[in-house]
Amino acid sequence: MLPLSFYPKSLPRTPAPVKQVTRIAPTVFCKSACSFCDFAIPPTPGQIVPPALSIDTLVAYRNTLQSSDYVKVRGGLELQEPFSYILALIRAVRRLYDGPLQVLSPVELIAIQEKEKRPINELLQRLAAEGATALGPGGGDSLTPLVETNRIRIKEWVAIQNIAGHVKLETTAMLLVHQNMFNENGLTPFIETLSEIQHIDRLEIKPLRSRGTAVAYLDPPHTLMLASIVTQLRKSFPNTHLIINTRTLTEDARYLLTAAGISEFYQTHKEITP
Amino acid sequence: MSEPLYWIPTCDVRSETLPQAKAREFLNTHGQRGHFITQDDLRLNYGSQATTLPIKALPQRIWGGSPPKQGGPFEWIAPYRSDDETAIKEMAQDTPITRWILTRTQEQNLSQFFHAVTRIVAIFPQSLLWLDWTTVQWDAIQFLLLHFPTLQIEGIPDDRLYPFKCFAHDINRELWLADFSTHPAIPLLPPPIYAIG
Repeated sequence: MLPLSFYPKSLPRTPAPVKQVTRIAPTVFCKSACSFCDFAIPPTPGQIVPPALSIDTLVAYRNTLQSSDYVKVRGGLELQEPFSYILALIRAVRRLYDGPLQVLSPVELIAIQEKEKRPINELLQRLAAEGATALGPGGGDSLTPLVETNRIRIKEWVAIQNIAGHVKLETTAMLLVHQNMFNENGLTPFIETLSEIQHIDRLEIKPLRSRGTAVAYLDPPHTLMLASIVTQLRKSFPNTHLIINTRTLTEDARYLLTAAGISEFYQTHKEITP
Repeated sequence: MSEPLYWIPTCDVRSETLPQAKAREFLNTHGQRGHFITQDDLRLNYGSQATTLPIKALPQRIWGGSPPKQGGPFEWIAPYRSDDETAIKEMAQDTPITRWILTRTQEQNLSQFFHAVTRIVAIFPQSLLWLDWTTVQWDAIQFLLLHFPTLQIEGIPDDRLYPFKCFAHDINRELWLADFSTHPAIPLLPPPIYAIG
């Protein structure tokens, strides 16, 4: 049931701006096979995962990077290269681009921590020292009702975001939205968990693109459902940057979501993969 | 429960070689309800009809009767232009308008279109105002239905009836299958709700 009290009562003259986001994925392979993911490929048993993106190739994307408003570096759980590879990748990006740079996420940091036996705190400090400005939200998907992925315990995810905040990295979270997520509790559990993070800088609302995934039985949200959720999140997090991908949105939806409290939209400028 | 919404399946038979046969088939697949845009009287026991008539270059339909008559009640299909306001007021007084089907131009963004609807609602009885499905588009329609609780929607295609039905249920409005004939409207049941998780 749509919570009718949460819909925009007036409209802005223009919608919030659309920013260009470039994503760098060192590998398209990831073993976690999350039910909602439509990007990563889980390797088949015995398959040898090819080497990650060659750092030298980044130079070819100079123009792409310089015309981006935001860059994200992903990792995935099949990255064979050591942590030093990620640091080198950040340095290479920094030679070409000086805007905000989001790197890895709590899920990947735990994997690196286990492999290299280095504390999370140190890993985050190194990322920040090389020029990362934000930690990604990966793992925060477990907060979405009916889509729990169990990639990470929520308490760990919250703790790592808090450490990121301490080393002056932006903290980020996400909410997958589907049409079936409203029960009597609504967004309350999500908001309560997120409030355990000292300050959440950036919250991405992700309309679930369930088609072709293991959660295809969950309907993608309609626009007023999204607007209603944004209105509630804006109320709970007045100083957080609320963002959403324009991919599934009409221009009308951008007006409605801006009225609801979205700070900016983004579209994928380029996906850099091996 | 507020005022019901009406689904009026509409079929333009003007370019059909056998308009009457087409209309019969349409009625058979729509529970014997349908509104037809036609050039000639279709002589049907069910359904309602309207014929088009260009007045001042605006597409308008004379509605009802058999056959529909000049000066009779009519439907007006047009976008909102602020220059037309006086003319609209006069027309609303002099002519029995059955409904104004408001269309949206490509230049009207949602903010401007919302303003247009707000203006029209102020000068024109809301119950006669219909929004054109094709040009207004679904996201805007949902928002405007929430804002103006007596608006109706024209031209909902068959394959969009399911989401429309779900939305009508969400905003607590009944949905009826109807036309402009004397035959009674038929209630459309809300979609079943399955528990998940």
